[in-house]
Amino acid sequence: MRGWCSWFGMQMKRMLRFLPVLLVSVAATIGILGLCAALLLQSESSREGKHRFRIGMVGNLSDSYLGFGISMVQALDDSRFMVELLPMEEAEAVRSFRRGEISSYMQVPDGLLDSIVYGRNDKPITYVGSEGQKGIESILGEELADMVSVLVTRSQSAIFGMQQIMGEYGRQAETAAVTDQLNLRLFNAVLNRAGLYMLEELGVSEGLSTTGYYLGAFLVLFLLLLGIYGSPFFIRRGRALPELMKSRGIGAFGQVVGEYTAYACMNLVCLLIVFQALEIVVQSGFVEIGEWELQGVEPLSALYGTAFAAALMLSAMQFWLYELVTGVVGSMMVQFICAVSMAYLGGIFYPANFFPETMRSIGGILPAGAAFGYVRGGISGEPSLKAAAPVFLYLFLFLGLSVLTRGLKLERGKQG
Amino acid sequence: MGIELAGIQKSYGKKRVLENVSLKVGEGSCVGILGGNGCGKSTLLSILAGVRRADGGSFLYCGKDLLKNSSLRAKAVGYVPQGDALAEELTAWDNLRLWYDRVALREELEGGVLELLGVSEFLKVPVRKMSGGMKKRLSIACAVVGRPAVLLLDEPSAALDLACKERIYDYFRRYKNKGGILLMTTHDMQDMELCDKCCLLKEGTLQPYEYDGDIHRLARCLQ
Repeated sequence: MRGWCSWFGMQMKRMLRFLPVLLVSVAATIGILGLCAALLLQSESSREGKHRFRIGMVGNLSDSYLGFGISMVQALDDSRFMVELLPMEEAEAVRSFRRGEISSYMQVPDGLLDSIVYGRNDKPITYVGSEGQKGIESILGEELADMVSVLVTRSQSAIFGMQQIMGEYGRQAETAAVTDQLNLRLFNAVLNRAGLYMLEELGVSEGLSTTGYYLGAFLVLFLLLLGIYGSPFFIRRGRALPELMKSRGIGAFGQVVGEYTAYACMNLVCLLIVFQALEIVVQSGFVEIGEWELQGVEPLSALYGTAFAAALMLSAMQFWLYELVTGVVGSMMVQFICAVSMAYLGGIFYPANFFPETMRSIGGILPAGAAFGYVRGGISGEPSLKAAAPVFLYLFLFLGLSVLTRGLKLERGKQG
Repeated sequence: MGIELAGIQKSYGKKRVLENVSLKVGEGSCVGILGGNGCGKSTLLSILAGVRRADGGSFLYCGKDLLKNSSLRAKAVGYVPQGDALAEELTAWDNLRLWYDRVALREELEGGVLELLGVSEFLKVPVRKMSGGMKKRLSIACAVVGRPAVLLLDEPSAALDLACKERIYDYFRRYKNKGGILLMTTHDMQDMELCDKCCLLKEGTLQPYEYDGDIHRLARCLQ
């Protein structure tokens, strides 16, 4: 009997047998996640500089004031999210909206100006959008449509009101000059609108920049997915070998520690490869992590520690799940469901800020949430002891549960 | 120097599987344990191998209770579980290296137990590509490392062809002739022919059974 070292050596050999296949899977994952990251970052930069909301304008726009108001917004508004107002027929607007060519359309009712001139103002501009589209874009679109509506209606009300008052006081001769003056004031109000507010970015998740958040989320998601890729390491295990090991003096504890160490090594190798890829990407300047501006790849060293600790903990969780559920389909399903649900609740698919307080608290204390919390600290360069504690607690808890489960399986196994 | 099982008991919850199992086996003999499915044959062997804990009783060898002396048990007892205790993705050599150091392995391959079992013929073959017979021979080779005095075999010849069985039996005969003790559970008539004595495990106790080749009588006894 050669003891635990031989057992560990055997597990390492098994790990090396699976490693090539695993690396191919890892490369594919890095590719897919990298592509997602590139697309997300690209869309983020588009949103910052280039994104335009295309809004259809339907109805009678021939009146000079209405046309003037619309072109004022279209041409002069320098707000961050630009609006493109496109005059079109209703049928065309409906078609374009369904095809996604425009975000929404506004219907200007017939007699709008008469209603304003005679002070009734009872014919509102109708905004047509989709009920299902309640993302940030549709909310902004709605706001912008509302702004156009208010701007056009009220500015015209002001001009017509002024012209009526001038008429009542017999000063028709001055009307043209005062109208120009009022128009200039409206111009000025619109042109200065962007200066009326200041946009402050608090970050998307716990103060992280968007790129920092994506980096942390991708790392934790990748670690969770490793549980599925690691399946060949677990699903071919029979009950006989652990039984024989126990009869030769290596009990549940020794067996679990040996197998877990090999499995964790396998995951760390994969993580190391991800870090190498990350280093290349950051060095090339393709992606700039908000928290690491002007520091190059130096902050990666802090991230190494937190990500490795998170990898050890999540590996222990995956190990326990494989210990708990046997069978190819069952165990992989459990890994997948756990990975996806915990990633969702842990704020990896969406920043946790999107969730209600209760859900956020639950997500934060689940293993994926705890790992993400610690990795976030690594990205911001301030890994805290408070965030490390649950990670290490979970690590020992899952290892303890694995030993217990293995022990029970050995003791109760096949009862014949 | 034989072995003695005395009053071994085991329950799974409220289900009493082994009531009071007692047996004496002398040096250089083979005892077959017969019984219906689920009667506790595998449980008994796994207790003797130290995989499971007995609720009571003793397993004496050289005056020591092996149920309480795990280090002596690990040296004195070899165990071949029902399934193949092998890592599927590794070769025969890699599996053997779990149990044998390099020097011992070379020695056993040249005229030792590994040659007798024919394991040297497929050292480089991964277990997943092996036939049932090859796997069983390799499992036995792993179990007999350190030449244990007692060999516990849980249905050793199940689903093996005749040629493979004969090779394994040949090894068991040699092992017995050298003073080894074989304790095997079986449903196989050929296995029983190898045994010096058979016992029937029924209702948690072992009863002597004289096997005379009449399988109908055996079947009636098992009911």
